[in-house]
Amino acid sequence: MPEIFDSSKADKKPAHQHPHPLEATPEDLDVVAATDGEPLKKRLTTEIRKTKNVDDYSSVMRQMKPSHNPFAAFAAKPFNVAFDAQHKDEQVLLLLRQSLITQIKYVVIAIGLAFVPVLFNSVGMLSFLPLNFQFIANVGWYLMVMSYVLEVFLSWFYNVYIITDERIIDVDFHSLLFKNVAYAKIDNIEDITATTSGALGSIFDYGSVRIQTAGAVSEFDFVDVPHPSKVVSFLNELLIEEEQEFHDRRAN
Amino acid sequence: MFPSISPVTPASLNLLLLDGVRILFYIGFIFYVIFAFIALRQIEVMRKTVVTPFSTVVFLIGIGHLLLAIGALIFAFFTLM
Repeated sequence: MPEIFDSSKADKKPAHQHPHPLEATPEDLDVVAATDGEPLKKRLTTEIRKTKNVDDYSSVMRQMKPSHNPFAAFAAKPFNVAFDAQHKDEQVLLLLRQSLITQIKYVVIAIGLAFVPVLFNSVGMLSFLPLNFQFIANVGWYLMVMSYVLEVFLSWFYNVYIITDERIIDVDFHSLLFKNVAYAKIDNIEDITATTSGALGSIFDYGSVRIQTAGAVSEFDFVDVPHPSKVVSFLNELLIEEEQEFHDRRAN
Repeated sequence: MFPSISPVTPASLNLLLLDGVRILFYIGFIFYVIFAFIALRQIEVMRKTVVTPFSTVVFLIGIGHLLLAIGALIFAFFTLM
């Protein structure tokens, strides 16, 4: 009878208890690879690679400290950041927003809007109304300015581009009523282009990163993100890492 | 005999116009409360989509905004009465 059908041998534990792959050290893996008389191979499995720190394979990330700033436009290894469709073992490696420099125009607009009632009162545009009506009109105006500031802030804060060790994610919220979240696997990336344009873009090092993929969403556009060349370098490192994983999987 | 019609005086026209403006203000503030409520719901969706350490503060800002809008509506109601 083949051993596999011999129930008397079922309770016998193997001579060497292999540790869980996530807890294994490279030395343990060598032992796993050496069972059944196979030659000793120094090879990492996919599970072990997932436990690898991003600093091990990315020179861009190695130069960056983990970001604890919730308002950072370029947050490498961000602290306590997650997204709704995140996988269990998926790590957020880079979170991008539009550069703060691009938001200055909204600050200027908000300050300008805040001075409109002062202008109106100075020329007496609302003088035909009683004082209590004028006061309520001013209150209403400042509420609208506040809603504008809130909408601009929320749009900037939550329109993010996330790069994990598995995917790129583009989260878009338009005008508080429209939500669009697009995902693409790293190994579906086909082409990456970084564009820096304009005087401000050159001075403050921000621009757009266009990523073409083979997935359902054919193009991702990271608009006005800081350090576009670093983003491209990091994505290239992730691609190389994914390729390496793919070859390891095939070899296994 | 014809029924007597009160003549339209500038004072009564002024009161009529003020009543119209008052109603417009009320409608504006009611719409603002609705907008603040929608904004709060959207903040809830946003903070579930992207979780950051600042998300709770953003939610509190949304609640504060809604309370302010309701407060402004009540204030406008009593001030313009």
